[in-house]
Amino acid sequence: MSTFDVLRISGSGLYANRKWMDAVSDNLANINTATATDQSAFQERMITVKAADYGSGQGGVQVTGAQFGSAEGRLVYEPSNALADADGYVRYPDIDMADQMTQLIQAQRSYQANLSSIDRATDAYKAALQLGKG
Amino acid sequence: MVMVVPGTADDLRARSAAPRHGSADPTSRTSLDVRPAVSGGTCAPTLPFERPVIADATMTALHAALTGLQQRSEATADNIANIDTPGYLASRVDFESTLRNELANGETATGGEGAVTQSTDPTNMSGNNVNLDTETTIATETGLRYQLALNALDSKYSLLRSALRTS
Repeated sequence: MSTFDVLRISGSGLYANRKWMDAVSDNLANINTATATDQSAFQERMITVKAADYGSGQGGVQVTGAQFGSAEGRLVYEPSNALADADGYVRYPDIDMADQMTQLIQAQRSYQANLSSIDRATDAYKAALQLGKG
Repeated sequence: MVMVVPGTADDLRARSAAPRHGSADPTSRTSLDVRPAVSGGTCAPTLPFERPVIADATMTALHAALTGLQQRSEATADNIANIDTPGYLASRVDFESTLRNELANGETATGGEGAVTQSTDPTNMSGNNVNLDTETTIATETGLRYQLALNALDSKYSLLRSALRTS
């Protein structure tokens, strides 16, 4: 427990949610990225997090890495596409738009919750810094 | 502030222990500098060591409360930071029971390290049981109580300052 620990803990929350939003926007940006059938599709990015043990005096959340979705994607018949194979198929990433938007909202709300935490802590710290002045 | 009145028993003993004739032994000089702390031989009034002026019971209790509340706000911040972490269980801090016991027994209020327990609330599909409403409520209450303790401590300090003001 150090002096301004709440800021560090909530900061780690902001960081994790920012990374999550980054991953989701990456997924959304590439939702229509077609690849040739002999290549892998764009893989959905998923952030993995774990809690930094609060009991050990650490606290906060850690981004441990990323996992990738299906490389197979889905085959779409698009003979006009320049990347289409002999049968007229191209590979599209297997990403669900609704799912991504849900995740985006979730990450956004969690980000805001952490910001409110920081606001509350700042108020308390500011009051503590005025101690003995009045 | 302890002054030795010449002629007290301890002073005489200290003198007799030192060599009578001047010698270069430095220990004989320092033995005179060591002033025996005897209650009977001092002109200063006996200080009430049991009841310190600044760090009195109220101050230490308030300080313990502030430390505990700070720890709770950290736990709440941790819970909110881990609101989407799979398998995370919300932690709860209890420092009040220790503090209450200490105050009831007339011990020095330390509050100790607050006891951290994990919430037994039901978890969601990912094994997480952080509830944002609960956390916000706890955080707001903790913040207000923190301010309350700060105000009380501030009042104690201004009281002390009034006492220290000479004119």
